[in-house]
Amino acid sequence: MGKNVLVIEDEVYVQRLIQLLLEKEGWSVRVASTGEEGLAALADGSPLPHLVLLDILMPGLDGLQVLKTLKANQATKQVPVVLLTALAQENVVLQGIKLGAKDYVRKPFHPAELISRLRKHLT
Amino acid sequence: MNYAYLQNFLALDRQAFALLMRELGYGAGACYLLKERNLTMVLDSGPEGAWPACVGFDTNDYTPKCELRMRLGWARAKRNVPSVKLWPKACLFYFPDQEFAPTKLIFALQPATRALLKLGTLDGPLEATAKRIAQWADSAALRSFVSEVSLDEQLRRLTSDIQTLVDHELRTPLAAITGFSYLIGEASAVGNAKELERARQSLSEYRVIIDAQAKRALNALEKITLALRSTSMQAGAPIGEPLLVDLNTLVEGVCQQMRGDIIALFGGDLAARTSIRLTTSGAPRFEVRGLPDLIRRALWEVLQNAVAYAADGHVNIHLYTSDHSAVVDVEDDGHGVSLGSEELIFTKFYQDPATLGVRRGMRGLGLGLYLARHIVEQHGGQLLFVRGGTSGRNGVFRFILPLTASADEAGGNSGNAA
Repeated sequence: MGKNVLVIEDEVYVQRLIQLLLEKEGWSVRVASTGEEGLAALADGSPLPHLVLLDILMPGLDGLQVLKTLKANQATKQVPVVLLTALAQENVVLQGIKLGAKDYVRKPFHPAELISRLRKHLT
Repeated sequence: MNYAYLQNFLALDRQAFALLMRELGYGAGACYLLKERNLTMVLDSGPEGAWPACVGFDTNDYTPKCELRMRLGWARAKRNVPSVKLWPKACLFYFPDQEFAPTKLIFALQPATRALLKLGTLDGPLEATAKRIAQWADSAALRSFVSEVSLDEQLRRLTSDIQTLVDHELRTPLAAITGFSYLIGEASAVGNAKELERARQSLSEYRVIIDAQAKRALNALEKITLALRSTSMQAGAPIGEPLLVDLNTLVEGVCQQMRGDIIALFGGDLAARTSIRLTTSGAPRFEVRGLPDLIRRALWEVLQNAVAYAADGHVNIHLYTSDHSAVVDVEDDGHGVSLGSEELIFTKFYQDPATLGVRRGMRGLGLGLYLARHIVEQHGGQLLFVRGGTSGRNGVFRFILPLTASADEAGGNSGNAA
């Protein structure tokens, strides 16, 4: 069965890039442009994604807040989350790992690296 | 960073200092020096029942903390006050978060104590303490300390600003450039004609995206350069030999550049719906003195903002003279600035609540207007948001730059208002 990934990323071109890269791998991709949209996508009754790729720096609800909410919800806590970040500071990423993220990818990333990281966590 | 001097400054005659504060109208509290949990200094005073006027700061990261301390003889609850405001007697300052500066505290003590000494209302230990404060406030050692604190703080803030710019505005476009370049390579290595045709269409899209992201990265580099230069300007370093600048030509150039870059910055759909109109009136010459690159940058930041928030895509720029100055009004047809935010919008990283969710194109960082105003002020001018505007919309962003003497004369001295 094909994998499906939810990408929560506010930068439209990065969103498009990731969508193209993941679809090339045969994965189906759903995108959300804000943390709020992302949480709504997880609660709208459609099948849960096999993985969430989550940007940290977003307006409104940021990635860490989304992660916290996701992990506090029984229905979604098992969904693996990989963080996507432009932030150089380690502490923010480490905070995300402590909150339950499986891994992180830093921007700018090589497409092959992104795919390899996601494949590792796609169950 | 040597806080010991500051601690000593306040440590002596603590009781007398507390009495002095009471004399100044802040007698409800006592003065404490706090050395727990990284707080270096605490002043405690405040009229009874009013806001706590106790200010401390964290030695490690300048985070301002306000705590209400216990007064000798009766207790108060300890609580954090996140915001600060200026007290009328200029004795203690409240600061918005992140804006605390010990220098302001030192200078705050001067006018109050000098005023009291002048009035001759102090005697005994109070007078002695007040004199000592006034003396220390004048001392070279304190001035040097203040200067050191000020530069260190500026450096810290500049480092933080640049880091934020790099993280947010360089890494993300570079991610897009790297990724779409990779896809171009993949698309080029196809076999049959059908795949080639599909690839050709994709290549065109990818090329436009790479171009747009490269422009965005360049925009970010310009901002970083500007942030670095703004610190030099603040420290009093010369900004360079000012040149004679033809503002009309410069403004036209900025408009042309924006028209060319709209697709890159805001996407093709938005570009098609955007118009930038420039009109001039009044004097034949709009000549100012300054650094054209900086002035251009300041205009660019405000114009970029106008385009980003123009609801129907219409941006009007009007260049005219008034009161010995060249004035550039930038007006868009957007929702404008919310009431009460007219000055806040020029604060670093401030996002007007009215604009959340309505910005076209890429998200801003909140530095553009701050930097633009800084540049204009360094040129002896002003950058304001003025309510009203000619189209009845929310208001205009107004640049005011002093005309050169010859341009002023050519305009007839009194200048011609729009």
